[in-house]
Amino acid sequence: MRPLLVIAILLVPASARAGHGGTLSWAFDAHAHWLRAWPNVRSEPASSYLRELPSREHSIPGGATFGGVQAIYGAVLDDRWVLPILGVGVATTVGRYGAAPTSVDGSIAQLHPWTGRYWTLLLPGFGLRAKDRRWMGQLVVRPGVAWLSLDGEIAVGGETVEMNASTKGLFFLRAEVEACRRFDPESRLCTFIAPSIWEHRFLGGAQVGLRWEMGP
Amino acid sequence: MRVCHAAIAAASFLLAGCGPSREDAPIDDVRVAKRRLSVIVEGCVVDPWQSATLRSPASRAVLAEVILLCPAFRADGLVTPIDPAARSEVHGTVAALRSLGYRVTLGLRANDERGVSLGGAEVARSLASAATRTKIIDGLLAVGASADGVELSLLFVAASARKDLAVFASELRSALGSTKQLGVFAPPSVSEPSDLPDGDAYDLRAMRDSVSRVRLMTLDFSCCGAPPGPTIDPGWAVDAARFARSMVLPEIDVAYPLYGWDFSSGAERPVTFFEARGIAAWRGVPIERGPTHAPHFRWTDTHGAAHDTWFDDATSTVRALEAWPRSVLPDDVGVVLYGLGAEDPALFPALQRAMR
Repeated sequence: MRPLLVIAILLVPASARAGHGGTLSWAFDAHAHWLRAWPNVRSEPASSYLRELPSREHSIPGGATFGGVQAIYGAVLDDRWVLPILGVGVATTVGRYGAAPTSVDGSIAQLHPWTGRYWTLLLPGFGLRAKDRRWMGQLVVRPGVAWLSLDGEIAVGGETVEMNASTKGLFFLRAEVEACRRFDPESRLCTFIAPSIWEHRFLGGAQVGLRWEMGP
Repeated sequence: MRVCHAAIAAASFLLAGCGPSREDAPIDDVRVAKRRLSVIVEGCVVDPWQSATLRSPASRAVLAEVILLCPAFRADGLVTPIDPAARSEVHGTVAALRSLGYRVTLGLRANDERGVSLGGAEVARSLASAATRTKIIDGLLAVGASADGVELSLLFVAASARKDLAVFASELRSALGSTKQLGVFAPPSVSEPSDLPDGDAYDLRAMRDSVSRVRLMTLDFSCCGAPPGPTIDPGWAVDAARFARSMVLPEIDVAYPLYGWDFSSGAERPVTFFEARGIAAWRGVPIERGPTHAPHFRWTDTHGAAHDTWFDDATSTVRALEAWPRSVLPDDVGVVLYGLGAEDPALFPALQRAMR
């Protein structure tokens, strides 16, 4: 946690750190995350009693929906400018999926989209907000990197060996629109929608969710 | 923090995605690499069902060659059928198939008078005699005069016949002349010495000047006392093809089964697609897909014996061929489908769609 704090302090302008209209904030959310199309994943080398199986790239048809949580750390300047600093998130696929048939070096295999896990690192972004009594609206643009992993199986005759597949870091850029209602001077409940301008493709996905924010 | 972990775990449990472990994913959009496809008919003639299949536009679009497992030689070298009318019927069948556009080759077997395969030792004894080899070749040329080629498709050959089999292939090559092709059905070894019983009977390096195509019998993967399972593992077939190619061999085919196996109490029995589907319907048991997409089901017969029946259908076959793109099996590796008549009737139309 300490490195995060150091980064935050470095990123937040001096005026904010000094308390002249600048403060730090935390937010936690639960969200649904829709991906228009699965990114290609690469399976790890595997081994069976019959043969050695190399790494291989796989495509998965269709899109995916995830449910997950995020923790976001940021700062606000002059009660107007929003500087999201860092965030982390994890999500798992929700809903019902069919197995995705594939192969590894001639061996029949299948990926299990329902085991998908989506890890997110939110990078510093920029935005603005406006308040009216207990209500607040906010618009933020924020980049990030995500990693997807999922499980599968490779056929070895009538048996199987486990297959793990994942992506390299996937860059994304989200535009996030948020509407909040304050419950006390330091807490707000917000709803947000965050279409991805880029998420391994143009307009590649979106998030919607509820967020609990702690800050001014 | 413990509460947080518990909350995340509970949320994951409630929200987590789900899906069937294996399902009948449609194959309509599947594309497979175009490669040379042959089909094996077990016998000297084609029955009406096989004939109708071979006449269908889909079969004619995807199949290049028909291999009739005929004739057979006996231990003394006598090649059957010996009856002139029967031989004439073989010629007629070959001519009819050729008129449909197929290349037709005859697969030489070694059978006794009952039609049962000779044992490996008996075949080795026959091949060890120069006189018997000559008798076999003479008989084979008489039966196979109208065919485009000959295949050595011996079911059992003792490893001791390694040298004689190569000599026989060389002699047969000379006798066939330049217009007829000679092929060989070889065991799907993946190591040298062979990992298969009597696999070393086939000295493929010594035979490479005689034989123009090697058909690797990548079949019966789960046979011979192994636990019940699919008739082929596509990855194993790839390894066998790579190993054979590493010996600088001529063109290669891998075999794909059109039949299945019923496993019961250590005994195994081949089954056709319709027989398997019929048993499943009769016993009212669901058919599942195994890891290779091969359908299978467990059932109990009227004597209380437990069975596990595995077979192939259009889906499993197309999926296997999909797993063999050109990057895995080069274009010149063909596929020979074994056991015409035992297949899923949807197979050839499905292959035609997939090979578009």
